Amino acid sequence: MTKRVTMVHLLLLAGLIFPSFAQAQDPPSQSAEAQDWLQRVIAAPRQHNYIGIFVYSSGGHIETSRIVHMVNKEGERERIEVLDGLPREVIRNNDEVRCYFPKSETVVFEKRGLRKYFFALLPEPLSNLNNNYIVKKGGKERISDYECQVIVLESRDNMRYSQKLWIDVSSGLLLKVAVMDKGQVVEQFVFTQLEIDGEIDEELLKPQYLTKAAKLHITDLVASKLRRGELGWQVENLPPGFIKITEVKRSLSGKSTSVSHIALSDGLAAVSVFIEPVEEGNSHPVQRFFPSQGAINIYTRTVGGNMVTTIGEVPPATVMQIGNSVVNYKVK
Amino acid sequence: MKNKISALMDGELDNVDIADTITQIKKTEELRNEWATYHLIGDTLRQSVVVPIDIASHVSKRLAAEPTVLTSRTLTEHKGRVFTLAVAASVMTVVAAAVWISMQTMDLPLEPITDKSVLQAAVQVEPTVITAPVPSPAQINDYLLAHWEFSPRTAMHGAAPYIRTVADSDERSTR
Repeated sequence: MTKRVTMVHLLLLAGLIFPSFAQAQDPPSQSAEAQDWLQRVIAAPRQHNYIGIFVYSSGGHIETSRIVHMVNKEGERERIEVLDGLPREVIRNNDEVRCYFPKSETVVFEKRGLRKYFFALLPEPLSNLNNNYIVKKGGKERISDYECQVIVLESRDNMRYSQKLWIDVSSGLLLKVAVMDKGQVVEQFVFTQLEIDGEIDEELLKPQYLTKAAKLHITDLVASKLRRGELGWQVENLPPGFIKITEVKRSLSGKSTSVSHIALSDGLAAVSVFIEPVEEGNSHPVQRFFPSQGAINIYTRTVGGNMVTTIGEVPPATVMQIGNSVVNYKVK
Repeated sequence: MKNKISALMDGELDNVDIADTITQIKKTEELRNEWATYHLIGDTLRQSVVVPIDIASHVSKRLAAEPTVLTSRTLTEHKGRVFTLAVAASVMTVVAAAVWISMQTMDLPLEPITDKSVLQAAVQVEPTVITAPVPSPAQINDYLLAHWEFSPRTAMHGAAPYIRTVADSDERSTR
């Protein structure tokens, strides 16, 4: 088992590294300095405590959340509580994430084993960024009373959104993100209040709904890794710059059969393809977009008795192109 | 009060709160400004495209032309439930989505909805009856949570993207 996992990851590693070597002569964009800032952003949450309020806005909706983030020798712990609307809570303990939905008495549990592996190996997720984005260092701006460095990741084509990042100069923490589509803001994430490196009371990290957890329905998003080609599904017409990160089988809410999950990324944006069989007698071909949620677009279609749902932080056309090129090569 | 104004815009307040909030907005200039700002932000974020002035009649026409979707058993249970995302769908997004969906079923070119003739064409489609297996909100929710595991954005935001799921509802408890 261990050996198999290692092989999968070596392949994965090769996939991530080689594209950036191959295109090293591409038009220059990414100043080494801008790249360093991005590395700092990824390292910062593992070096700093922080507590604050952030606002997430998209599609005319504004939602406020409180975040408590603590780092010690045991690693990272985090609690996020949505303050507007129905209560929701996310508890993270290193690679374990639990989402509490108190109204429907549900806990969704996820162990992020694969992601941990990424970090140990490479400067992921930035390895193939340069091929797809022009990375520019902007000016300095003040956010929540912190001096921030602006870094712009400008999309090289219309297959992905551009992003503008505001990075705290002293800690490297990301204080604001704007996702842009041709100059228009699609969604924003911004801290409106933040204290960095203060003492954190452990009480603040305690889940509010844990005591009731015994009564809650628990959904465990277990993923089991697969050998190459084992899944039987693939995306044939990947938009330029996107590569397959991994493919896994998952069990989802109340399902006896597992769901296939193919994860793709261009270094900054991710797209997931989920494939699951539909009930018998319910296989009329359908194509459908769900209302987009800020930068997230969701597209569903049926392929030979299977429902293929594509979800990603990319424009609708990209989600659709990926969704439409999913094929089952075992029955083709 | 700001939260209430935001909730009012999203139609999430109950009747008593609606009356109170509107009274407060009428009374206070600061809140009126807040109200206007929220709408401005909303319009900007939505990148509002061509908005028909006579929206009511356009919506009625669109609804009449919308295919009747006969869904799977699981989905029928949730019939009539608005697919509410955590980022609650505003009227504009719903209208835009309806047009998107019909454009997809019609196999029209994937272009932003700026062309009025396309909108008109969509309006004139005869209603069709299809059986459509589509994911339920709870399924979409699970998909989103699973999606974040591999998103490079979680490397920068920690667990923050996880709050961006479909809004909590009674869906799950019925499963």
